[in-house]
Amino acid sequence: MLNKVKLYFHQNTDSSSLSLFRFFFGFLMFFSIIRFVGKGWVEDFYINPNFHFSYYGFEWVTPLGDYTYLLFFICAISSLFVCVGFKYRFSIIVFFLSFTYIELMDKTYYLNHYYFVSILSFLLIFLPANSSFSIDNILSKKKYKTVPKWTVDCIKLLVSIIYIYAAIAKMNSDWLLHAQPLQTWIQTKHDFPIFGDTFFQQKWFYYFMSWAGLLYDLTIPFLLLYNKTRIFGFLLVILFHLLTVALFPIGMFPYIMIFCAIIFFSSQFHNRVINMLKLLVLRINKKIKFVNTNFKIMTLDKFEYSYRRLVISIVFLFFVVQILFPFRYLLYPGELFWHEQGYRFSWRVMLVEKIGLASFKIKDPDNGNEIREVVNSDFLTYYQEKQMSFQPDMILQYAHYLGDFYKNKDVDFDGIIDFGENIQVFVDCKVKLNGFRETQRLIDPNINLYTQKESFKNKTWILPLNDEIKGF
Amino acid sequence: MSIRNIFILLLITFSFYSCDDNSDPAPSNGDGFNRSALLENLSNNIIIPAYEEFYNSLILLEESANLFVNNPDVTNLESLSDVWLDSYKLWQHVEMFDIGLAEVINYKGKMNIYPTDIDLINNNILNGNYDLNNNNNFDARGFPAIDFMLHGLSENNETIVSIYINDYAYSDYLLSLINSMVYNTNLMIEDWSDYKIDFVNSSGNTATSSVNKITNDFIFYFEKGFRANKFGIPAGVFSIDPLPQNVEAFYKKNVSKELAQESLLACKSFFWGKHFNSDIYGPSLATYLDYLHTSSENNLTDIITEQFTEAENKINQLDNNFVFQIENNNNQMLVTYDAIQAMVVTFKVDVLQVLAISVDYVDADGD
Repeated sequence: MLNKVKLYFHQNTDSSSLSLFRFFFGFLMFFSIIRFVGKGWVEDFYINPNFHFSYYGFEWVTPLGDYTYLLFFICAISSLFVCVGFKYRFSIIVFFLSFTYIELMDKTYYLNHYYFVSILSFLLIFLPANSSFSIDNILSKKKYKTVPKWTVDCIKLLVSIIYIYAAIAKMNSDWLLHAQPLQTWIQTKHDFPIFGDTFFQQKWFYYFMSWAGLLYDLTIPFLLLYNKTRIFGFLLVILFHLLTVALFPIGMFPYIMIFCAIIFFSSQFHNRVINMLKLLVLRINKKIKFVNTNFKIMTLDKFEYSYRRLVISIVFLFFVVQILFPFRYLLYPGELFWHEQGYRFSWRVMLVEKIGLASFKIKDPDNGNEIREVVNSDFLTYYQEKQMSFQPDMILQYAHYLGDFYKNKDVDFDGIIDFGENIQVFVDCKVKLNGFRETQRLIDPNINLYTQKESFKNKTWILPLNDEIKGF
Repeated sequence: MSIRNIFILLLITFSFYSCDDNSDPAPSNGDGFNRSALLENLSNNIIIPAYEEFYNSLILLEESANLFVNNPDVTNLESLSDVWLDSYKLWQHVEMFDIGLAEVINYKGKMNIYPTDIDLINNNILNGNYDLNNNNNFDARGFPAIDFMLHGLSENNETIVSIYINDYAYSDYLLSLINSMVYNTNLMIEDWSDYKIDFVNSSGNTATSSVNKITNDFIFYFEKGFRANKFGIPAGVFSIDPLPQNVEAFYKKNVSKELAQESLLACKSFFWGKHFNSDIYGPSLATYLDYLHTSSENNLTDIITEQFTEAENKINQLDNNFVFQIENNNNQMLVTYDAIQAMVVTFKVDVLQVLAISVDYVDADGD
């Protein structure tokens, strides 16, 4: 057994797989960032809001004012460098750091696929993805025919983890027995061509989509792994993700997943695509005479790590964390979908439909002054308020922000401080989970949130859901 | 490169390009609920008739004001005040329709911003040089400004009449106020005669389609125009002390409740699709909710019916003059506010989730 493992780590595979993946990844990331900036979201999400919801432990990660654009610029340039394989190791580290910094600035905009990009780019730091088909080859005058097989397999493993964990997350009574939230989402897409006023209005269709979605997530890694089912699996990947594009405002995620599935193809296929791309580049170069192509590159047989053991240990540790981390919700009592403690970073994609309304009260017990209801739009953008209204950790952070804002403040400009040191902040928060359930209070309205501290401990001031969701 | 591989690459490329357009798909109305019929009912039987009736009342107001200006006496002042109130009540039926041209020109901002700024009004009268369509004058125009001009210049009507007799600048300002309201409302009526077709045809489910916009407008009005402006702000919900001077029709004093009741009635009629000035009901948000709602145990529209009744009862118990109510028993005002707030929760949480409405001005990726 141990021998087999040792042997496995000495196996090699064609370097084209990693190189093509690097090329696509860099290209897609560059496109994503341009799209993000082009939509004006840097301004809307990071520069205009007065307040940002930070991650616990990363409070120091904040937007940089107008320099936030510089951050996006660095991120875009580094992704382009990754794409063409220019100073690859340095570029992918810069990309990982800048992209992760961007995602950590405000958790309002958390998306699973941003997290995926972060951890994937972290993994890519340790993989020799510039072994071939890269500018680095020209600079160093050498390229590698093969790379260790595990370096390709670990990308497949990461993609598989995402699908399988997404499947596990769907194994619950709301998804399978109530067909929620899919019913809520699909039913109102009446304007969808052809299906909108036919299938989308049929009860069986919501159940079919729910169960098919689960089955899809569960089987797709295996369909992609085996030669015989690969084409079928890949067609399913395209079909499924295009369907999500058509139905939901899901951004770049479907495209990223479609391109990631290409890693499962054979290295011969990757080679052919690379040769095609090379031909294209050479042809363009011939026309515009951009560079002199009379350079010599030495082809070495296989890429060897200088610190092989260290790298393998880091990657191993990375996957241990990836496999365990999504299950951290088991450490918290109550319904995960309700309290959301351990919800993020766990591949719970398009899983629940929640809307909340949170109204905050500011009180000074010493002089009896109170503001019965804070106007949230004075402090938050619409999107921030919407996201905050059903997520306890954001509610707590905002409550502290309000407390800090009103403490020692003369609100009505009469020259007297209205709220002193003992200021209290309460919230009345009503939330509806998955359509068919009654709206219910999320937070104990008698708890002074200003004295509650954020931590990884169970938040006892979250009221339990008056219902049970069975399953994972 | 085999044909198979070319096919795959083509598919990838195709998928990449085919999907980034979020244009409004062609409307379709063939599902179980006919949204175009809903929009027809709202525009034909509620919005347009309400605008027309309101416009007529403004013409009456204009006539009555001319009569008063030409013969300033207490009788004419009082009848002008009555016509003003009638018109103000009809206004409650159109304020929520912040859609089409109304949204573009900030129509409601030209008609009903209170508290009105009496210093600015006095300044305008003194200078005689003002443009009421300019947004600098947002709180020196519309119904609240007329309220001040008719009821707030002095404690008693005789003195008010004498002010108009002594200085024609007051008459001038009064007529300008009404003139501007007639002008802008006429724009609305003209706009709706064209806009109606677009309104009814845009029956999809995108942020810019009519059902979504009008629902958002309705809920926004209920939350801001009704809940916050008429109750919350004067009762001091958002401040440390109550602000009774911020009630609607502050200078007339005893009609703030009547206006609030009219406003609630307008909301109720809209929600249930009740034709304006008639007892006929058509397709509405309520019938749409009944079509979509999936819970077996509690019917959302039943809950909303109860909540409307509860809010009505609470408002009925208040004094006609909200200033008096706030100064003497603000707690009752706050209790009323809470009943209305419960409805805001239902609208913003339950209704929006059931309708799965893409909300205005939120543009971001989800997952």
